[in-house]
Amino acid sequence: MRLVEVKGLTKCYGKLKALNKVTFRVEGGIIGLIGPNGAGKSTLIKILLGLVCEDEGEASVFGMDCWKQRNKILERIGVLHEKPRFPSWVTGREYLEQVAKLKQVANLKEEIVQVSDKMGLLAFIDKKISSYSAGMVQRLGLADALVGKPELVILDEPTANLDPIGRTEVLTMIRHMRHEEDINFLISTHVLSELEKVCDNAVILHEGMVLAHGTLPDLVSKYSSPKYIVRVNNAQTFIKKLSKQTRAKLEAKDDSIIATVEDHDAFLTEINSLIKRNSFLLKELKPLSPSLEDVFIEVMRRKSNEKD
Amino acid sequence: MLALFTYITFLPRGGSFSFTVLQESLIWEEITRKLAFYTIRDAAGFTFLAYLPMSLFASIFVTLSFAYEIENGLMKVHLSHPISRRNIFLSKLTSCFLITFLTFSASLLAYSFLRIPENSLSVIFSLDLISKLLLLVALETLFVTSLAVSFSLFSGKASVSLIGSFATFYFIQVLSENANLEFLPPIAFRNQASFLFAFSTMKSADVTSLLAAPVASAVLVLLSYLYFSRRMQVN
Repeated sequence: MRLVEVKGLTKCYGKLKALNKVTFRVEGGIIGLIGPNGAGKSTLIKILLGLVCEDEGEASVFGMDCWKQRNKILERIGVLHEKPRFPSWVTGREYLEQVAKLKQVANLKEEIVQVSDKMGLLAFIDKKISSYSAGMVQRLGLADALVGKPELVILDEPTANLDPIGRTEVLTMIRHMRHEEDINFLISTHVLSELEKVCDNAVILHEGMVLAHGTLPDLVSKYSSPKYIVRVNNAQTFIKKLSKQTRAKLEAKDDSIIATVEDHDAFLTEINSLIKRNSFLLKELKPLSPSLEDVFIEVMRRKSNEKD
Repeated sequence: MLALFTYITFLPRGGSFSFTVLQESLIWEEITRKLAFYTIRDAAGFTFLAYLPMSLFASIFVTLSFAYEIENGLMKVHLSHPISRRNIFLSKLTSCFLITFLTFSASLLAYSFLRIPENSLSVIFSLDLISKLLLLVALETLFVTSLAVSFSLFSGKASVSLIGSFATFYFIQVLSENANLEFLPPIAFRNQASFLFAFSTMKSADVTSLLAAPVASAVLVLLSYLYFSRRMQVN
């Protein structure tokens, strides 16, 4: 059974087309939902949660229609919204207890302690939510999403308002829960460098359309060119001479040169001949793994070229 | 509520009180009871004691419960948990209704009985009297709550909900009293009070006046429920 399946999904807000015939499917794992502001990521998440109804197309989670069977879907998923809000007059513990009761969790108190401990909430779980900082509210939202060990957790900007240690803890927790407890995640974020540490699949949205989707290795091989980092004793002279004889795109960075190549063999031959002819001292030559950010930039570049 | 209304409506009218009291005190008790009836009837139908304060009260609570939560994102969090929209709607509606009902029942009862001589309290403190007052307050509360909920849900904005609903209540009151439209509150509530406390008999023309507000309340609640449970989208 497919975890999330979307076919021809369209949603308009007046004249604005937030989603335009979006189609993709994911079987499971950690899925990254990537796109610039206004791409339609939040609208897609709201449709999957049954908060908003699509104008055209179909959206299903666990094979169930997102609008008509939203209650059954919500029993099996956990959600963290961007900028979450919680009732300020209760304590964190009281709130999580209510959530656990709604999800019919068996050992309620144990579950709350466990989840709070994972999220670093234990120190202030018994304080009123009105006294929480933005980071504590974010941790409470993550705890809310994880109560009851859902099959799918949807996270919209999960590391927002967290300090660097907190961000690392959340990413580690996501990886751990995927591997140890087989929980699937759908993560929407702008921070691609964090997302690529955890996600297996990605869906790239722009202006309401899917530009690319697939596993990370597939996206990298399809949308990014191989890169090399070259360090020599005289980088400025080297880059001037190399640029005259190679088709690779060269970028100077401190005392290194980042080269985006199309043909490995040709590039390596060019480097070799240049070094021998001019007696440069080669300090380092190694391939660089393309990042998710590189993939995203390349996808956007190809899209803008198509428009032109 | 319908059962209570039916029971009270078909109670014997005009003073069939089964007290075993001495003949010479019967007149005093009857006067006291009639005073209590008038006072309670007027309290429940009094614009500036019941209708307008109740409208403002209900508008505030309903706005906080519905429109404010939709606007600030808390409703989105509620609807992202496995709880049916029906349960959310009914629990919020009930809580707004109960807060308004209990507050105004207590205040109107207190107002009514403050005007009664102290040594007569035991005479006029009857189930009949209190249940009629509570029924009146319940009908008024249902009307103001249902209208406020409709405003709140269909606008989705706290400011529009609060100001719009209270302005509508005030407009209805002005229209009712200046144009003498008996089917609109607060005149409709005064007619209900007169009928319940047996100072008027039912004529066919009064049916509209007596039933318009409760029927309108029921329709508004149903429309709001259907919209919230089946159509409302939360952004």
